[in-house]
Amino acid sequence: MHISEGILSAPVLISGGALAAAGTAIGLKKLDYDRIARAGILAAAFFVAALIHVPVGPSNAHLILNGLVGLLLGWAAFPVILVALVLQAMLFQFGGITALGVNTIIMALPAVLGYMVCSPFLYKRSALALSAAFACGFLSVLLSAIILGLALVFTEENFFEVSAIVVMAHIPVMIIEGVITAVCVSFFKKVQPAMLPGPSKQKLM
Amino acid sequence: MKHHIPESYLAKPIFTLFLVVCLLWFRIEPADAHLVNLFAWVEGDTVYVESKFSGGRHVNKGKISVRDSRGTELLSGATDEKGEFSFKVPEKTDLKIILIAGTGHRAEWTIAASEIQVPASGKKPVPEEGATLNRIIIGIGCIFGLTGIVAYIRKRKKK
Repeated sequence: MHISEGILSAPVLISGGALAAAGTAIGLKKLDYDRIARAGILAAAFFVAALIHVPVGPSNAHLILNGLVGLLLGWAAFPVILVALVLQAMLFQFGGITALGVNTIIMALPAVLGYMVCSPFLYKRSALALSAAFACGFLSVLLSAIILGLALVFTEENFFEVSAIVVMAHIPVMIIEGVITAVCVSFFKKVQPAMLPGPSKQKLM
Repeated sequence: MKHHIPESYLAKPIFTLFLVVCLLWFRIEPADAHLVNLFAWVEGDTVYVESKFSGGRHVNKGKISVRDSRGTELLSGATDEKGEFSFKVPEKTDLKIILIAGTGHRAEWTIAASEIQVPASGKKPVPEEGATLNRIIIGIGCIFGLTGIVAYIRKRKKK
């Protein structure tokens, strides 16, 4: 899912960087600094998840966990994912420093969208909440794959082909991430509601 | 009279963090320098050997010894400035390549006899990334450190 250095053209890299900077600025504003530890834990989880390869399917894709990060953090997913991507680029040569902006958009934008669509359902009946969490995990990866295809469209030209390949390769990951997100949400609902976004804050304070 | 560090120093998380970072660097340096990587592959009738320390430096003039499966030395030599060494396959047997790079650095690589029997398909093996766990720990440490710094700054601002 990470785009490597030297693949994208300068305009794509620059616009990706600008969008990522804007998202990160909003994220830093909206970050709940009283629960900063939550962001740190999720950044660590995201950082490590990329090392877990899913051996199912045509290519070896890895876990992303952007749906989970987004669902729990909302806009704060931007700075969190950016930090994790910087470390992944430096320590594992995943992606690259110049492609950082684009990669942040690829993974953080679907996370925020997933949050907007799915988080209102988290406090509904448990079946509904679980389906929303599954959908968030599933759709975030799907959307990431589509944005990846979009970013490559200027170099590869055939958007549908590239996107189809990326989406196909990530179908097992989507299902696994959906399940992981649902399991995490049901666990947090029972054990640690403070991890969930939104209303739990008032309950907590 | 007892000497002790003033409590105010210990109470400062920034100071503690600074110490931790220092310790981290001191730990990493020597740990890095003590790993030497060796890998070798067959291309045609020649065996190529590459070596470097885990920090990325090449092994200059490291002693190479090539032995067969029974441990008899077939040939020996030394790496060049780029840490490379090559030799013609002496015979079709398991080849054990041993590198002694001085000050306790030693690495081994074995080429199976079956690899030699197919001379055309010489493929360079991907060198193993040994320090993955280290890097995971460093990454997580960085994230938690950053979180701590942000939380600390926030706390100070609030006061």
